[in-house]
Amino acid sequence: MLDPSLLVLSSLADGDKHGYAIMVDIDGFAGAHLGPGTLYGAITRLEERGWIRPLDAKERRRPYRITAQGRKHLKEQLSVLERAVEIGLDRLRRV
Amino acid sequence: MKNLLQWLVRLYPRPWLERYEAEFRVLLDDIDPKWSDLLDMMKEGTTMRLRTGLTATVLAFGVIAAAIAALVLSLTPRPYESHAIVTIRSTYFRDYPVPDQMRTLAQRVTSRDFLRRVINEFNLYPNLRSSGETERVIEKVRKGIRISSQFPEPARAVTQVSFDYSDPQLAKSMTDALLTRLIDENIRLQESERVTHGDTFEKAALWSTAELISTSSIGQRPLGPRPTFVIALALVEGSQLGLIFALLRRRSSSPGQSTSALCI
Repeated sequence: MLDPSLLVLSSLADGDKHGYAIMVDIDGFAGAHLGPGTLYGAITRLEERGWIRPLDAKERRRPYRITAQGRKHLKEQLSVLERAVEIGLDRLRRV
Repeated sequence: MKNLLQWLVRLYPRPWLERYEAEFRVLLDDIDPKWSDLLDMMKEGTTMRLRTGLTATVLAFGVIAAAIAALVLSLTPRPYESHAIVTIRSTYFRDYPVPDQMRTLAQRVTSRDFLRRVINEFNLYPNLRSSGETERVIEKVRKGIRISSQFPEPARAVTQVSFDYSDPQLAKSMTDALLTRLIDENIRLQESERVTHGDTFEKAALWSTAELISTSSIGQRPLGPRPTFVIALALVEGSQLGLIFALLRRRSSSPGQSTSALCI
């Protein structure tokens, strides 16, 4: 249900991470297991859109960094989600 | 399981592998694999393949084919067709060989001399004529003429004469000229037979007579596929060709395939 790209951006929001670290982080904060295919599919799309950028590889593991554009996009998307969550919860409370 | 995941990496498209393969393989080594990861890789790898080279090739072929179809359609405007129907019958002899007669008449109607004359008279294909390609003009006009006969009875022919041209009025004028020529040649043919057969023919007066059933029509667009349909068809067919081309190219350039082939 959660968009993998959004989860990856959220994971990178607090610092650079390589693929495996992103996967573990997302598992920790969202309880969602991203398969390796899904994770790298999301990384590919985010890099194409300029929302993340690759850094120099360390021991064959390449870390990624969120860009200013990526941060802006994440903020916008989370705001939309936040509003949707608030409204949804409010409506649930009323029923 | 890890080996299987590593093997599945080959599902990914070559350009993607050139960029991500090393780090992706490290990730596959790092994780504790699950069966769902296997399915996940199969799904993403296939999707990525479809999204990259294949789609682009299929689309490119489709668009090129549609563009060629559009170009051809614009360069070859559909002609207007004018047609008339005439019946030729022998009232005197029931076994008069009308089919043979019609073949002779058709040859005379499309004779080089006659066509040269009407081409000049109606100024057909002026551009080609001005460039001195008279023979080509004659061939084009000849291709535009259709004389088709049906023989409901041995001594009777129902003949449709038609002509295709880019101008509807000229198509009609030309059909009129062809009809006149057909009727005149029918009389001339009989006159020549009168000379051959002498007295026998005198009794018959005219062995066969021509009767106009429907006069020549103003040229109309023939029924056929619409240009938009032709372009859409070209798009679909081109895309199919692109799909086949992309799959064949992928097969021939796949390293896994080459290795197998070498092993054999």
